[in-house]
Amino acid sequence: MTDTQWHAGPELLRRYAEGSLDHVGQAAVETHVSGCAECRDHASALVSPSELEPTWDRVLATVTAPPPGLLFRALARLGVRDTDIVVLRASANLVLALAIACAAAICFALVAAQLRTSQQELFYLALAPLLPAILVAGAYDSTDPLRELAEATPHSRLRVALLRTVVAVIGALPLVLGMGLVPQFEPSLAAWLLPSLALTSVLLVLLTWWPATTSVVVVATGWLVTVGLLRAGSGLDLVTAAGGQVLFAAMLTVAIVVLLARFGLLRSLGARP
Amino acid sequence: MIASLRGVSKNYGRTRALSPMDLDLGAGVIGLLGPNGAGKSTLLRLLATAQQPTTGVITVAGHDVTGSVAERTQARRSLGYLPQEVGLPNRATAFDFLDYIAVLKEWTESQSRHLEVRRVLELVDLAERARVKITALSGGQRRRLAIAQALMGDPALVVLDEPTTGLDPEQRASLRRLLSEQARTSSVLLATHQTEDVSALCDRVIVLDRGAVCFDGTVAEFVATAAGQVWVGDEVNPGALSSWRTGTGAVRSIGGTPHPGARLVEPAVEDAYLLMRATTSTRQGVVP
Repeated sequence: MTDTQWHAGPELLRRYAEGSLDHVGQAAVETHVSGCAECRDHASALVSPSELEPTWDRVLATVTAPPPGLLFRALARLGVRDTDIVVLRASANLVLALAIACAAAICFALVAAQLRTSQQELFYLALAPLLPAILVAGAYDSTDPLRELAEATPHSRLRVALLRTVVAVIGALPLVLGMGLVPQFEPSLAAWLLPSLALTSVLLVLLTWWPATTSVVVVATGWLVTVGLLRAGSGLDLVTAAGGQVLFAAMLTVAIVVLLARFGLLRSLGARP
Repeated sequence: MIASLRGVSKNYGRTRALSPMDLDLGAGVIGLLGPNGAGKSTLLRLLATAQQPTTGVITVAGHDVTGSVAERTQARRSLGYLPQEVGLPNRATAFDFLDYIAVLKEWTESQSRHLEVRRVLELVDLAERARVKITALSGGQRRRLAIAQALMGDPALVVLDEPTTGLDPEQRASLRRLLSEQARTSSVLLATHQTEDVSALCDRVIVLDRGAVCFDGTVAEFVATAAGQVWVGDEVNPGALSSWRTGTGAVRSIGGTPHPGARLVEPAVEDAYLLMRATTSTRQGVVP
């Protein structure tokens, strides 16, 4: 193509450089310029390097970033924020946290299945509500090798905790729910769901102030003491009774309100929740 | 002044890791020397806001990191931190790791974030390894990757704990060039056991011992503390505080009574450090 018979005129090249030709014209001149050194020189003189920089930046950014996997492309199409996808990709490397979460759920189901019905009630009430809270802590920072690095950055720890909780719950929830399908389990035992949600929300609130380990110890201790006191007073039915469930619903609502308020406060303080 | 400490101390339970100290850190490379357990990493963690001091006030880029969450968050925007050990995620690529750290450092716009990741990868000469999984990187490459995240966003205060560990001489020379360039506008504080890094790179040296600052001054001032006390000869000086046989077969002695034929030589940073260690240990009743 170096022996081109014709050359693009100055006006045509100017409009090509501006990008003001129609698609066909732009493509035709593009094809010619790519094979004609003389026209390429004239065209390049019409574009200042500063105008090319954004294009070059886009090319560099594209070729540097590895293509995201199928799952993360799907999340992007669903509207999940790019920064959240990056955090989730990094969290996917926390295989240990996920393994702990799933193993805890399986062990819980196996142990519960071996117990008599009367023992199951106490077991469920004492441990089932704590399980999601423990998953949150396990998925958060107790196994994160980059915790020290992350603590020295301005990003909200709460947002990372929430995203990782989603990953842990997606991994473990099918197992936890599957336990409810075991025939000898009483349907009323599903009443642990509201306490679980309430305690997990309280844990997330505490995570906005304290490290994961401290938060989970406070929540676990508080719950176990409550169950112990209720059992001593023969009042375990209170948890599954309508009144108890309403109380947990109220606790869940308050925790969500506080969580939203903390999000707002962190945002006003300059952190990105 | 980029960072300052006023009356800062740190206790772990009943153990005092740092005694109350005052320090001002300006632009330039500052070397932090001291034996293991001297409190170097604790001091770096406090400056990096990864820990809170027991007493005192730390200011970074004009923000009190010991104050409110807002102040601490603002200070973190001016920080780059390399811990002594970084548990890099082996299954991630070099790019993914830096992309994640960039998100934590609030690079929210993907194109500018990816360009910043590429910039720091080029700084540490790893741009060609961007898509390689971390597990496939060599020890030196992993260390350079960890250093790259600390330089992201051109922070005002760069805190590096043993940055040259695992680097070969060529890579160390390259890192020195990089850090001295960064130090034109930033304060680069690096803890190290490599005295040659201090002599080749640092404008200022701080020596810690048992949680206290026992020297703070220019490298020339530090070296001058050993002037007239370093000898080279055929034998060890009687009463020498430290001595060793060099590659030429001659014996280098620090302190002591020079034996006949011993020749006084110019001290180096290592001589000054060993002399300071020997004298402080002797004062504290510890055999060096």
